[in-house]
Amino acid sequence: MIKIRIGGWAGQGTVRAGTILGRSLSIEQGYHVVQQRSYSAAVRSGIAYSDVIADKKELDELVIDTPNYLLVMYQNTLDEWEDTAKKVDVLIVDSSRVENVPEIPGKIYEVPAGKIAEDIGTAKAANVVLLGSLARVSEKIDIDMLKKTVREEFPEKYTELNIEALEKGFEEVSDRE
Amino acid sequence: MLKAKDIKEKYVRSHPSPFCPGCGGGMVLNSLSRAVEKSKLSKDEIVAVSGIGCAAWIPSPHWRVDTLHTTHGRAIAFATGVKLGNQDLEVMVVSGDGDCAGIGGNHLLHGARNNVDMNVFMINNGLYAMTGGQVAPTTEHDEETLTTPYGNPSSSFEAAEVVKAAGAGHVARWTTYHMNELIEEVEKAIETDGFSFIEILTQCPTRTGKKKNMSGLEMLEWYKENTSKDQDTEKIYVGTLSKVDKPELTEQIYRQIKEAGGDPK
Amino acid sequence: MKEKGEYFMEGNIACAEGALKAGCGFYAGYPITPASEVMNHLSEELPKVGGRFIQMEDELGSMASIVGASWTGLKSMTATSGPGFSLMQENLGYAVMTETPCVVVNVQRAGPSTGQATKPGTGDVMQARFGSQGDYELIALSPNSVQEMFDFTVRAFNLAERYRTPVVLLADAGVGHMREKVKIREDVKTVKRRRPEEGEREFFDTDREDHVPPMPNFGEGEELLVTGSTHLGDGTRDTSSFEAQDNLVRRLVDKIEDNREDIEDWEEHHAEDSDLVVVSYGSMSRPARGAVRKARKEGHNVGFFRPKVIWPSPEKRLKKIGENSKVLLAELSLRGYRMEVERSVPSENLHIFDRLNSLPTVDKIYDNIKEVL
Repeated sequence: MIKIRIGGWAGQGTVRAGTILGRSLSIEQGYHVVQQRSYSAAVRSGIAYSDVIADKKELDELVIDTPNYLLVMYQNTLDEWEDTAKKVDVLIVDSSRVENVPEIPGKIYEVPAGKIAEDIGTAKAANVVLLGSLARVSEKIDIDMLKKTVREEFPEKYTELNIEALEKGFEEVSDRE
Repeated sequence: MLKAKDIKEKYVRSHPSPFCPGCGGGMVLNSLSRAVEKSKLSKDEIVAVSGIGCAAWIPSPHWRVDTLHTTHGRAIAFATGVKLGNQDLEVMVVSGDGDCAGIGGNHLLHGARNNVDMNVFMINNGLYAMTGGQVAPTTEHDEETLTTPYGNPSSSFEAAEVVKAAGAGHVARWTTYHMNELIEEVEKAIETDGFSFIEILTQCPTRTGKKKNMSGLEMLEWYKENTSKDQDTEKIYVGTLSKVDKPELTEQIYRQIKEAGGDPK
Repeated sequence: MKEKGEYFMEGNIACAEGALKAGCGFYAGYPITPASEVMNHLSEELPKVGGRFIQMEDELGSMASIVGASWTGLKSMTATSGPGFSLMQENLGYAVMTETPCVVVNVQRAGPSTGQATKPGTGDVMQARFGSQGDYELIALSPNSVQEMFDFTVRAFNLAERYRTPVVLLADAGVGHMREKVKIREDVKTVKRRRPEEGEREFFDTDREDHVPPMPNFGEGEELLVTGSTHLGDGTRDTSSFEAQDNLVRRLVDKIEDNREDIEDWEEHHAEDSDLVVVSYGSMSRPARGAVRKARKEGHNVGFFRPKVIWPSPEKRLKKIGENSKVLLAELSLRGYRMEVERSVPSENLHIFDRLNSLPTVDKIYDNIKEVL
């Protein structure tokens, strides 16, 4: 079972990222997948997040207590989730917007997703950059299937940009290892 | 033109009338039937929707058409579903002043705003008659009713003016004294593709009459003396208040369905 | 409307797609969290298949207009959540009394009152059954997956048409707002209301064994008398006689009660031969089922029972289960289904896992199972 949480400031596309990831794992990779979203209004300090749970077996776990993978796109979100971050296997942060990363037992990947996205056209694609990094870090997530999903999820004029965002995110992590 | 007896046979179900002696309900039923008879409508096309109260019983079960006798205040909302469901139906709402302008006031406003094609007849007797004569939104200031024994501390509102402001295509006011004019106005309402609202001031000899010591006939006399077809008098204006052309809801929704590739039939 | 295939879809959208596949021809609604997506989706998709969509001024109007539209022959639906469902109760009762087929979706949220609009809860279980005044029965379905949001919406329409009754899809924010894979089939079976045969004039009474009278449409020259007052077989209002009240209300109740065999549906695993059976429904039944699976894997003798149709409640089955084993009721409310289970299971055998605000993990329920064993 893989449990992934993607969080940030409302409007950063965390739910969108969760949907792309969930769809890719479900439709393209054949996992049983549950994706949950949160409303910004329902969570303190405007945090929005999305949870994705995937398993090869039939899935009855609908919520995440502690994620294996935590993707964070905003400083205040990480501050809020410090206790959770200390329990995860992998923490991936958008280092363009998260400067202070606490010490944790798990692995940390700092990806300047916001800056990468800006360089290729729009800061809005930072969420997709992080998905690319996640695909590199987790061998269970297939980057090619993510690309296929991106092609189907986005309007045609944005597909190439987002494919590039995935690739850049994927490369960024390997560069650091 | 059919004779009174034939009108009754064709349009009125033979249930015993529940109305009090001297009530205006029967006169309204008569006017509606005569207007339909004069129009090109077949009575099979008519759906009469009503809520709760004396006025709601005018069509149900007495009017020999399809009837939908609904919950208190919601007749216009039910009627909206009927009209959108089948555009070919002629939808008539018969509602009391409490039903229409009190508990159902929100549906009245939005029915008018939507300009959904239906004819709403608000039978206004100035109070809640069926339950014993309590104060209504149409009761005059200071007037005594069952629940305003010290006089109505509130004020009435002019439902017809409110409906006009809300954007109804056709708004009018008549009384049961003005049968001929009323029949003509109902015909106009049937022809109007939009929200027609006709307020009908109707005598209630049992509740209002007793308070004011007036018989049904005397109340009709009062309507005669205290109304005017001239808007520039102090008297209650009777006649058409508004007739405007604006988009009708059913037409708009059916057009959108066709444009989206669907077939509303 | 989606073509045949597999989709990664939100529960509320699957519900809307189910309505389209079932042949919904009229939708009226009012915005409310966490149900709005049903309406948002249908506002775009329904016109494409010839259906009418309207956003009404409030939930009273929504419920009223779907009843009106149903009498023009259209399959009709509304969707809402707790506060709106409360407002719909009077006209829901009207639909019961006038035997008007329609579907009411309640994507339940945490109450009472405004509560927590985005959080799941199942505190409306009793309201779905008893919320409107007077004696009546209705049908309520309880989905626990996105697939069931689709499938049960189709079935809700079919049952409504089959039995001339309102049917409640008693979902919750858990299933409404989550995304899962849903399989949309081409060959969705749909049912249409029984129309009067030549010469059949009783539209509000019948001698038939299923207690379902035929239903004509407005505009067919039947001079219909449709009323929420007590009425005779031809629709004539009868506000005083014993016979009219007794005959009508008994038939309305029997119409559901006597057709239980066709209506009832549940899921069970080892419910007959276990030391403990976990009873759960709605989104909560997913982690509950997961916990049962885990407990069995660990060697515990635990079973699982889930009503898919929650009203009429499978009371005989529950009674049988409660006679032979301990029962752990797991629900996302304090009073949702509890009294119904208490009625069937002896108090010494009944244990409760109730939870508010959010779904628990599988482990949380598993721990509770071990405590009860």
